[in-house]
Amino acid sequence: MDLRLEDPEEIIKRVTPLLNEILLKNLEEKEGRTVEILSEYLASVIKRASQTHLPELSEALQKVIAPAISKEIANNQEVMIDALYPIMGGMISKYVTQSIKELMEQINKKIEQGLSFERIKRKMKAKLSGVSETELLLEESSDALISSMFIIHKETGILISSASLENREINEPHLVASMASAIKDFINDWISRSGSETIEEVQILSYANATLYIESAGSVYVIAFLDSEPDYELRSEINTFFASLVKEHGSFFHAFEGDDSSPETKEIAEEMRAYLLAQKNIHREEKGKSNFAKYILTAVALAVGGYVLYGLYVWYGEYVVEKRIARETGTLVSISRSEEKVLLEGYVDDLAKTKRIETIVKEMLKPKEIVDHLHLDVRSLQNLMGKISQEKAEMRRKLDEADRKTEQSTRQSEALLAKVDSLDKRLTQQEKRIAAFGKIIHMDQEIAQKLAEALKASPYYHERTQELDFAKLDLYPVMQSSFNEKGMRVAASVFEKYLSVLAPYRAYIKSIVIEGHSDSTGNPKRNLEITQKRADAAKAYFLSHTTLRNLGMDRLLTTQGVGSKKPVLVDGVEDKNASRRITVHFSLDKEKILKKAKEVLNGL
Amino acid sequence: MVSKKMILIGDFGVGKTSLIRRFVDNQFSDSYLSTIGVKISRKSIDVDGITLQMLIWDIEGGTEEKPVNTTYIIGAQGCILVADLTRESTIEHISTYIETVEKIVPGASYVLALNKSDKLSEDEQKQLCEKTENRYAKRIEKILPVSAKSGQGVEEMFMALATQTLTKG
Ligand SMILES: Nc1nc2c(ncn2[C@@H]2O[C@H](COP(=O)(O)OP(=O)(O)O)[C@@H](O)[C@H]2O)c(=O)[nH]1
Ligand SMILES: [Mg+2]
Repeated sequence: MDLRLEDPEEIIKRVTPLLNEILLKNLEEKEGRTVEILSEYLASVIKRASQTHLPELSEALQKVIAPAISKEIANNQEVMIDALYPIMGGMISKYVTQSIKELMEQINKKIEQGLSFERIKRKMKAKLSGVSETELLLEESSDALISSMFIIHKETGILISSASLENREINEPHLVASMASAIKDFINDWISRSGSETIEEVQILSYANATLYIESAGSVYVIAFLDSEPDYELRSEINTFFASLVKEHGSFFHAFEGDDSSPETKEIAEEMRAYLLAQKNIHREEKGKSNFAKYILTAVALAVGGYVLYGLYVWYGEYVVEKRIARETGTLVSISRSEEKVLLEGYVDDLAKTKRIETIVKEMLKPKEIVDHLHLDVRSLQNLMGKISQEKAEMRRKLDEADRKTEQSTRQSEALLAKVDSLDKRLTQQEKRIAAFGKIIHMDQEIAQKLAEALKASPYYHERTQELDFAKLDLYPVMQSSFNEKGMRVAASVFEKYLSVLAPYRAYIKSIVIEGHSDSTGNPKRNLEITQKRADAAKAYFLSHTTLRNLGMDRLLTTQGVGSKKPVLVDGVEDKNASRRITVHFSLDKEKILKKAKEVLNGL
Repeated sequence: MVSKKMILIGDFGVGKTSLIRRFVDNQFSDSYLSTIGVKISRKSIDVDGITLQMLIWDIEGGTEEKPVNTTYIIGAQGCILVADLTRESTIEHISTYIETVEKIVPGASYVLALNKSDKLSEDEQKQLCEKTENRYAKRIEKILPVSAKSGQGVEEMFMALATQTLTKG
C-alpha cells in the first residue's frame, strides 16, 4: 500500500476501510487480541505514514482505533501501552484528538516512568549512607555513548544550544531542557534543605532510556544524554569539553536572554556536534577497555596502606630492626622497648619465622627479655603486601602490553613509510618515462628545431618543409647530368650539416632522398632519365667526401629522378636554370617511433 | 527564536493546570506535578511577526501546608497569577504572590487571570473584576476573567503576557 499520496482525504479514504477490516473484524473474531493484531499489522504502516502524514494519519486512526482502544484499554491497559509505545512514542501525541488523548497520556506516563525518581532517591540515599560515588560508578558499565548535548541557561531553564547524533535527536528539546533544569533545581533544593554539606551535587538522571549527565558550570547547565551511566573517565572527559565550551563562550552564556538565533549558538552547536561525532568514533574502539576508575581506587588504597605502615614504623622508633625483619622474613612486626624488655607485636604467616625474628632482635637490640606477641594470621599486613605486589605485577603487565602495542604501531608506521617511499620511487620513474615518451613522440619537432638551428644562415634550407633545395646554385646546364663542381661543393657542405643533424636519429629515419629535377622543356621521358642521373651523380659526389661518409648514413641515402614535376616558378614564370637542380628531404619511420614510445611508457 | 520563561502561580485548585491544558502545544504529563511540584509546557505565539516561545512553569503549591517552591520562580520573565472567581480568598492571596515573585525577579510582567468565569453571571463577573482592578491595577497590566472550561479569555490572556514581555525586552 502506498501512503505517499498528496491528498489527505484520499489517505483517510484508503486507510480507514483497511483498518476497519483488519482491526474490527479481527477483534470480533479473536476477542482480546487487539494488541497482537495491532503490532502485527499496523506497526510498519503507522510508522511509514507518520513520517509524512501525521495529521491525516491521526484522524484516520482516531476513527477506527478509538472505539477499539476504549474497549480494550479497560481490561488490558498495561499490555496495550507496552505494545503501542515503541510504535508511537511521543511522536503522534501532538496530533491526537481528545478521544485517544487518554491513551496517549498513559503512554506518556510510561515514558516518564523512565525518569525514575526511585533511582535518584536511591542514589541520594547511597550517598547519605556513605557509599562512595566511585563505587557506584564501578557497578556501571563504562562504554556509554553520548547521543546529545544541551546547554541550558541555568536561571531560566531555557535551551541555549543543542546538538545530537543523527537520528538521536531529542523530542521537544526545549521542554526537556526546562524539565531537566527544574528537576536539577528540585534536587539541589532538596539537598540544601537536608542540611548536609558533604553530598556532591546530583549529576546523573535517567529519562526514558537515556541517562542525563548534568554539569553545573557558571551560568549554564550542560547536559550530556547517554545510553548508560558514564564512568569516571568519561565524566572527566565530558567535563573537560564542557569546560572548554564555557571558557570560550562564558560571557555569551552569561548575557543570554532567550534568543537562540545568534551565530554563536550555531557555532556552539557545531562544536558539540563535532565532539559527539568524535566520541562516537572513539566509542567503537574503546569497548572492552579497562576500567580506569578501578585503578584509581586501587591506587588510593595502596597509598593509604603505605601511609599507615610508615606511620607505624616511625611510631615505634625501631625502624631499622623492623625493616631488617621485614626484609629477611617478609614479616611486618612492631617493636617497642621499655627498659630492658622488648615487646614484639605483629602477625606472622609461618610460626618458624618467630624464631628467626627473635634472633634478629636479640642480635641487634640485645635485650634481657623478649615479650613475644607475634600471632599467626594469614590476613596480616603481609597479605596486603602480596596484594600490592600483585597489583604492581598487573600494572606492569598492562604497561608491557601498552609498550608492545606502541612497538607494533611503530612497526606498522615504518612499514607504511617504506611503502610510501617505494610509491614515491615508482612515481618518479613513471614521470621520467612520461618525459621520455614525450621526447620520442615529438621527435619530428625536435629534429625540425635542430635543423633550423644548424642551417639558420643557409639560403638552401626550407624550414617549413625541412628540405634542402639547391636551385640557387645553378648546378646543371641544359639537358646535362654533369654538374658545375663549384656549386656542388657548396651543396655537399650544406648536405653534410643536414646529415650530421639527422645522424643521431638514424634509427628512426626511413630514408633521406636526393631528388633530381629538370626544367619543363624537352621530352618527359628523357627528363626522367636525366634527373635520375643527376640524383645518382650527386649522391656519388657527396659520398666521395670522407667526413660525410663517416657519418655512416650511406644506407639511408636514396635517389630519385622526378623529371620536370617540380619546376621553380618566379611570379608564375618558370626560372629554368633554377628548375634544373637537386633537392633533399628525409622521412621518419613513424611506426618505429610509436613502437619505441610505447615501450618506453611500459618501462620495457 | 526567542524563548522566555513564564510562571503560573496561585492558590491550590484555582485552575492553573486546567488553563495550561487549554492552551499549550506540548507538555510533560501531570505525573511530574506531584513529584517535583512543577509541570512545564511549551507554547509558541506570534506577536507582530516575532515568534515567542513560552516555557510555562505550572508551579504546584499555594496551600498553607505546602507553599510554592520559590526556586522555580528564578529567571521568570512573565507571571500569570491565577485566582478563582468563586473563592474571594484566592483573589486576596494574589498580593502575597506578587510580593514573593517581586523579591525573586523584580520587574517581571504580570497578568491576572480570574478563572472559572463560566460559573458566574456576566454581572457578577463585572463586579468582581472591577473590585479586583481597583486593588491591583497599579501592579498588574492586565486583569481579565477567563474560563478553562469554556476557553473564554484564555488566548487573550496568554497573548497579553507575550506582548508585555516582548515589549519589555
Ligand atoms: N467550572 C470550571 N471549573 C474549573 C475551571 N478551571 C478548573 N476547574 C476545575 O477546578 C479544579 C482544580 O483545577 P486545577 O487545574 O487542578 O487547579 P490548580 O490546582 O490550580 O492546578 C478541577 O476540578 C477543575 O476541573 C473553569 O474554568 N471552570
Ligand atoms: Mg495544578
